[in-house]
Amino acid sequence: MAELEAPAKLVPEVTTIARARAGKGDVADRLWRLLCSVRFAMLLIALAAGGVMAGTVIMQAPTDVLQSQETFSAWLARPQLRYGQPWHTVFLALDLYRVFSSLWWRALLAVLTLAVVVCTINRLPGIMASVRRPAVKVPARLFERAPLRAEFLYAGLTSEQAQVQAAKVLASRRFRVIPTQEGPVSSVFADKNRFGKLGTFLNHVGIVTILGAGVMGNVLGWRDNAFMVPEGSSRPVGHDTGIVVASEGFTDEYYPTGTPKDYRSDLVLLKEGREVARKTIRVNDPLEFNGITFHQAFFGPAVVMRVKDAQGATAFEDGVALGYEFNGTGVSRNGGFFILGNRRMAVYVLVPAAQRGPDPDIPAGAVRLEIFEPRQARPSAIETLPQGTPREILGYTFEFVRERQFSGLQLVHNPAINLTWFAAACMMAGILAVFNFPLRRVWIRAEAAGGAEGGDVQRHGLSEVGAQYDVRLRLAAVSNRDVLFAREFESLALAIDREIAPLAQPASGREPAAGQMIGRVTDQAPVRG
Amino acid sequence: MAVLSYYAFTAAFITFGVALLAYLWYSVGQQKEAGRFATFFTYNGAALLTASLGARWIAAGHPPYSNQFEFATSFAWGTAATYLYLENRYRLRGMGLVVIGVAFALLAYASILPARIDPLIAALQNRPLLTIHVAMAIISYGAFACAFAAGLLYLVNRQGQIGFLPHPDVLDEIGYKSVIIGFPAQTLLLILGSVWANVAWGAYWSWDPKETAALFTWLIYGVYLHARAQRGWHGVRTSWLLLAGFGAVLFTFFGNYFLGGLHTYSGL
Repeated sequence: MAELEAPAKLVPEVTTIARARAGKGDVADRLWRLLCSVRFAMLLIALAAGGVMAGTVIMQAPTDVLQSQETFSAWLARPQLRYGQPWHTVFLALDLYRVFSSLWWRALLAVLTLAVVVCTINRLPGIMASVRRPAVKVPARLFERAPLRAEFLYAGLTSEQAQVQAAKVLASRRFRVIPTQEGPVSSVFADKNRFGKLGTFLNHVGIVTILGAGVMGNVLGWRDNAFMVPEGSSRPVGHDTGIVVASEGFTDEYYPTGTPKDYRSDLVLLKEGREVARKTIRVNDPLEFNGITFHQAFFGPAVVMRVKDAQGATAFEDGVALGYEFNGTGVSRNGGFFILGNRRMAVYVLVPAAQRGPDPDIPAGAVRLEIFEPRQARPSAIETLPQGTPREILGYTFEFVRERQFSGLQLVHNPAINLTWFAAACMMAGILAVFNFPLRRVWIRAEAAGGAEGGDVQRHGLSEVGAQYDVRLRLAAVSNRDVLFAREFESLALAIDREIAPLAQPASGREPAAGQMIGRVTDQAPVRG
Repeated sequence: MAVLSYYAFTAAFITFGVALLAYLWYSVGQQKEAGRFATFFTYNGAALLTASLGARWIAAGHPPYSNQFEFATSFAWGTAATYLYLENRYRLRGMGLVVIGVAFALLAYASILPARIDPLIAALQNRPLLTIHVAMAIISYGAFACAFAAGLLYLVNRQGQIGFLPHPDVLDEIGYKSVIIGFPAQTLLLILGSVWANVAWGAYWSWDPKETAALFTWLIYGVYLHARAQRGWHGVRTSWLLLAGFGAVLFTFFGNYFLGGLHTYSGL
């Protein structure tokens, strides 16, 4: 395998800042070297992979639970029951129940981002320089040690002629060709896809930008995951938008098998009382207005309630979305609430949860009201109210007018979303560039055949026939174990020979005129199963 | 059409079985002639599977990506298609035994699943994204299956001592070539998944188990690519990474059974 290692030294390595300062030992240099070491990057990616795996297989606290430490602490009873000791203590200590919002995960992403940035800055100048000033000159040893090489001997032509022909073939194969002349030696350097390497920067810049856009979206944007609008009602969006969402209706449809076919809400957006947008939104077709996206996310039952005060004036008449679940004393109920008038009473409206069987206290077609006065832990009144039957409670007349449905919307304002897509496109383009446009470099050296000694010529016992030829043409390439490039190189070498051979004279004692191809063309066994 | 699809599936299943036997005969029995039969049957099996999926598409009126039977069949199709591409490109039959083995196992798994044709549920009603998103999954998983076969055979034949298996250097490179097909496809899979999630779920990334499992897979192949290109790793170490990567692919694919989350449409 010695041959595989040699070319790296024969072809000058791309310079990096870390290499340039390799001897320096101060803390900044060491840190720089650590951050741009591929080994460290691999460790970071492996750690990230480990974190992702932990977050996949270990139970994760839902987003709403993570809103406060109290809800999270209360939620911890569930994993404790599931995993038991000592796992629970271990997972808790490592913060594995909320991996993706944990401090260590954020720190890991921050270090990873920093490493990508440092690595890019480290390599960019050197790679740019190697694109602009490629390694045109290489030591002659390359032509004896490179994993891909070919050699031809010709009589009756000059090395300049061979150089011109080789350059012609390379140019026709879309190589950039740089011929050089150094004394009697005519060389050609050719490369292809020299910009492909820049794809790795595009890709890494894309990844960093995606992470940055994620942070930006969290800081500058907002989301409301449980925005409920009953049919026929309207609700303000808030967040200083001045927008009000009105629902003109909600429809859910099912296939005969019971699987959901369609959910849709007819929405109207109002600003200062004027309609500004209107759309029937579906799960896959949200409404977008002023950078805010209105998604159809869920739905549920709603009731229209009417409340009149002692004077008979309407104190409240609106839909109430029963979008919350209340579990207690062995029964499960859906409910919602509204705030009533100047007395700031909270009125909870409850119905039996769907598909949970009959409720002991709430007959079908009725709602249960639990009315709380301000700062009271217990309800001041509990009443069960059949539809269309007004009843006086605490000085007001309550009426359950009719059943409706509500649209559960998700409201999202993410000013960084387009940046995210742009970064994702950069990442994708970078990956495609790196993989589909690998750097190809070929070095060609034509010189007088007289001095043809050593290397392949000697190994093949051809040094004594060298005298019969005038030009010795050698090709070399560094392959990185690439079968396809090895084949391309072989075909290139043969094409160059086909181009030069007609110009050459037959060497004495040898027919036909075509050059002698010697040496290893590919660095591995032919590809055949 | 549904009946036609089912017949074509059964025929493909049998044809892949025959192809597998032919690859076995080719590799272990060292019969060069059997190789041509193996390739012939694999092409036919792939064509039958294409017909089966195509007929299903017509019968259902949507791409055949709506339940686990259809995913498994499509995964097998992707594996066979990527393999045929590589076999043709590298003139290499020695991996057929493992890769077609994987495809056959996927079809066997599909054959025990309910094969009913389901209408698209509301969340999946996004024809262009459903088509490309899942197509990318099929290509990347198929390519990773080929990379897995290359890695496995490398570990078995690391000294090149088993004559009927491809040369270790070739396997090392085929593994890499498979990954550079699979990795961009999986990247696009994740990006399009995010685009879709942003439309349908209101967030482009929700740390949903299927998302995180796919991200885990992506990261493993990321380590592989860095290790190989920048650290010069090859052979045994990268082969283990290829095995781990395919383990993650299978974990992601079968994750619907035990992970729950937003991607549980499989109808199981």
